[in-house]
Amino acid sequence: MKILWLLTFKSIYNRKIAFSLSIISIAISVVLLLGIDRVTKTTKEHFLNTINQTDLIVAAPNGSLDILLNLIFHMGEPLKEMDYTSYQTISKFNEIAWAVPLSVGDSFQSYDAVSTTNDYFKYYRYATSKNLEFAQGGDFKEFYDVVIGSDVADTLHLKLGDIIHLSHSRAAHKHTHANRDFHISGILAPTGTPNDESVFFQLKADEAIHLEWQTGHFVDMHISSDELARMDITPKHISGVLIGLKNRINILNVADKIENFKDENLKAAIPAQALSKLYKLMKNMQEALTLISVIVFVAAIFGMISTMLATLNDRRREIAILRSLGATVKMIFFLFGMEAFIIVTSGILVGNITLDILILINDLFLNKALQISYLPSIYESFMLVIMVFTAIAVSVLPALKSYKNSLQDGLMVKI
Amino acid sequence: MQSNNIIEISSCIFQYPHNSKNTLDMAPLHVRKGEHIFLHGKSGSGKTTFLNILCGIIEPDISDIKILHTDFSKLSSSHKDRFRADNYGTVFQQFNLLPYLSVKENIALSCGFSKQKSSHVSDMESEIERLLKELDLSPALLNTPAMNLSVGEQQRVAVARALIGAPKIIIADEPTSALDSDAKERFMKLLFKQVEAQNATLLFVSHDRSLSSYFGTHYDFTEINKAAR
Repeated sequence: MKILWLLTFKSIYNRKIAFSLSIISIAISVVLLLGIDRVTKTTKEHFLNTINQTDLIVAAPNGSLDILLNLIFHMGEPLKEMDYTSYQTISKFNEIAWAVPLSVGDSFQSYDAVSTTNDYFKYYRYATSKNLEFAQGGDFKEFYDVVIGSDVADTLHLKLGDIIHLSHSRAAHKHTHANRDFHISGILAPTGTPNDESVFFQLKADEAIHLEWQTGHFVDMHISSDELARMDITPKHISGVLIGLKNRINILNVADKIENFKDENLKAAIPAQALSKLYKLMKNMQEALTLISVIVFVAAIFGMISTMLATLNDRRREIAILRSLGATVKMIFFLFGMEAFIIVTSGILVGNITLDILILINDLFLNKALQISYLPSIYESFMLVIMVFTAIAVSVLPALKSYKNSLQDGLMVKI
Repeated sequence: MQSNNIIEISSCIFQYPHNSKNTLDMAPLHVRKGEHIFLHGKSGSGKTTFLNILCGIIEPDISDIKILHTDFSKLSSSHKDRFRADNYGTVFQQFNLLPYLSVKENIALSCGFSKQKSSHVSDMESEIERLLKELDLSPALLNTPAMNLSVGEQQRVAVARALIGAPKIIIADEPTSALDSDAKERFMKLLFKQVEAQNATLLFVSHDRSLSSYFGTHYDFTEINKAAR
């Protein structure tokens, strides 16, 4: 057996260019196969964990997808609004641990402006249980403070203390609240969630700027900060409420209770359900990608056999010599199988290393928040094992051809 | 008492598939131990087919062949492979060596396929050096890749590989046809010296009648093969 190993390695070394090309084509297919699988699974995971530990989202009766799109992804058709008083009542329910009011609909340049309270930064969780963290500064301190997402800060080169102006509505022609200077009090760290592309300001500031702006045109009412402090600027309406329960077991009960709320007709959406509903829209895309990676894999295997078959003519003499020295048919099959094994395992190794380098590049320079795994999952390992066995199985083809040649050639190839 | 015959062919018939006529139909042939046989005959007379059968690469349709007192006809093909590895040394016209292996590795390869051969060699390195010296090859060639050798050198390395491990039967198929006449003479002398030193039986196939003077026994293959008459 030792002699067969020596022959395999020496023979491969003798054909190193064709051999390296086979390894590279296998490696490319491994990068695609594993890369597509890992990226789609990670993005799926990430997407489904855009918001976590928020048990219910309450809003006026809208579709649960609309509620999710508006309050979490800050997009979609505007929601019907709910009364602020309902929020106040609901937040006092016994089962409820925390409730964060949200209003959407304003914007800052192309980014969505969400008005809320400091509780938002305290209770929002994503990717299983991560908090929103401030890269710089902190939450709202002053009346007209604003907190911006990481992408907003990066793209517009904004820094702490900068002054920005918000616009009314998400429409293309926006009225800028040109008079109201908002000061950046905090910049969020990257999360890979819609928070990166949002700006946040206080609910009462939202109410205040709209006081000045009821006719659709801005009228500077010159309200001083002192006056603001004395004025009743409790909002009348909000878009919705994020709710965390003391005990998750009560989700359905509480949802039921909210939907039968006597003061107002309300809808309680379960974010986890709504997210997976939304994700189903992307299922076809994921299937297409998986199909592509499988096709690439099949192509790589064919590539490997064709290089093995192509070098077969050069190897006719080699095989005839080995046969004359007493190599059995089994040994010839072993040589080809071993070669396929070495090609495919080297390809897998090179592919995995390449993929990890790509992930490292992504982590260092592109999107760290995605957190793609460096190690193959069980499913991926299974695919790789199938790959190895397929390669060994198809190596029978060139081995068989070579054996037939050797019968025809006899002991000596007369070329 | 066992006969002194190394090879006893009572019958051997072979027909290539899709061929209406037999390629080979042998008259009985006996080869004694230590005999040096010169087989000649025009091309197409079935010499190569005969050698392939004798080595167990081709399976004859009907045969009764005893080699080294073993009923060779009854061996399975993998047994024939092992039998070939253990008992034969072979030299062909050309391309005997694996080009990417060194001279040393090419010679040792023969023992890699046979425990019996390697058991006859106590020290591989010195045995290879001895053979190279006997065959007029410089020991400096030991680690040279075979592809860097001249044809004459390659043929002598092939002889060294055929001889190592003291196989009982040496089969040579036109081993000199790629050599010029000086090299040919030198090759034959070196081959005979070693074959005699090992007391091996030599089966030498060639169409070059000028070589026949080296041999005690001559056969015209056209006579032996009834199918070629």
